[in-house]
Amino acid sequence: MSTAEQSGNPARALEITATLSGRRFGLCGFDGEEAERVSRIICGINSLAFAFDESLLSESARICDGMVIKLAGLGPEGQRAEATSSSPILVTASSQALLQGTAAAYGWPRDFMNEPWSDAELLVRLFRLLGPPGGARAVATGKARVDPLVLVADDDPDLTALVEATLRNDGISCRTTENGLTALRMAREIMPDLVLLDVRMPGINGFEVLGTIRRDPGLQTLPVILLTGCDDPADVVRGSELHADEYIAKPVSPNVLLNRVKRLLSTHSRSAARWTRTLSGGSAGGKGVRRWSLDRDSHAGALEQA
Amino acid sequence: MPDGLEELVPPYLSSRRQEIPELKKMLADGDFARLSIVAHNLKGTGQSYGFSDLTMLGRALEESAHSADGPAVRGLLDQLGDYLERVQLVS
Repeated sequence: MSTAEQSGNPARALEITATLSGRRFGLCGFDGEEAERVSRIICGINSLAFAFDESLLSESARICDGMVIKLAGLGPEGQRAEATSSSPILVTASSQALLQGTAAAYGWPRDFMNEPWSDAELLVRLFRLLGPPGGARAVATGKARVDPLVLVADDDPDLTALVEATLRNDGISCRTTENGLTALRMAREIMPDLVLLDVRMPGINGFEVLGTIRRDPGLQTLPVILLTGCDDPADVVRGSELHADEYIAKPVSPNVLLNRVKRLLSTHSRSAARWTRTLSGGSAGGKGVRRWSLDRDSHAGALEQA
Repeated sequence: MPDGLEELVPPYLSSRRQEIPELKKMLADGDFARLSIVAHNLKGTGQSYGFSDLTMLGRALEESAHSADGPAVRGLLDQLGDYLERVQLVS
């Protein structure tokens, strides 16, 4: 039973879970034990939690749907980043700190929670902060997203034109780029629902882009289809080792491509709760990388120290 | 070709026709690396646009360019030009 369900109001719990499910939350300023507590609560409503060092606060706020920050755990650099971030942020602090107005005068989505706080309060605050599905993205991009968004990276404009037309015909929005570096930048900016990635591209190739995506806490669960004209079986192996979700050899029929994209979008959406959660140490005080795996049905989580 | 995508085909064929002189110049310059890239793209898109012969020719062209086999590339470019002259869209 999740924390939301334990709150005693099933309808409210359902609404909260539906709204917050599948989001990405960044944690900052918490010590190891507190970070684990917040992570467990967030994982319990099928969302992802990542702990960041305060030096990465601005970057992490940009790639997450919302942040949970412990004010007392931040130094001057983190407080400055927190104060200037336009992302939705839930700040936890003692009453005294809040009264002193440490985090005053915000024009951005911000909420404050007195310490100590309860698990249910955290979820209710996050729910209020983010609003309905798409709300956080609307804040970040100025526009709510209704259709799935696919990023297509391929240096052949004839191929990207065909892929874009195929997906748009089926109500799937597309953004395209012809090189790997731009693909990475765009992935961080637009947070697509899926990436179609050519292997042979100028700048950095598709394998390098995929490897970077899988190492990036904000992107690592992003579904990626490698779309390539390389026939070498070694490429398939390498794509698999880098955890590509699919590998499609060109030439591909538009119908087959569309089918694979829709299937992966659907599968990814359903299996969000089985994603691997990665918590990095940073100011949370942990060392190395801790991995969460969570059973979707039972909500049972397992924590490993790598 | 799925419904709604037919309009992409004429410009695709037109681009391939315009590419032939460029490919011949690459061959004349001995620029097999660029030839290989164009051939690779032709291989990857021909069949997707409904022209499996273009994919076949692209594959052969890519292999010949990789081997820097000038005579083979010249022969394949002639075949490609001939095909693009003959192919017609039937609505």
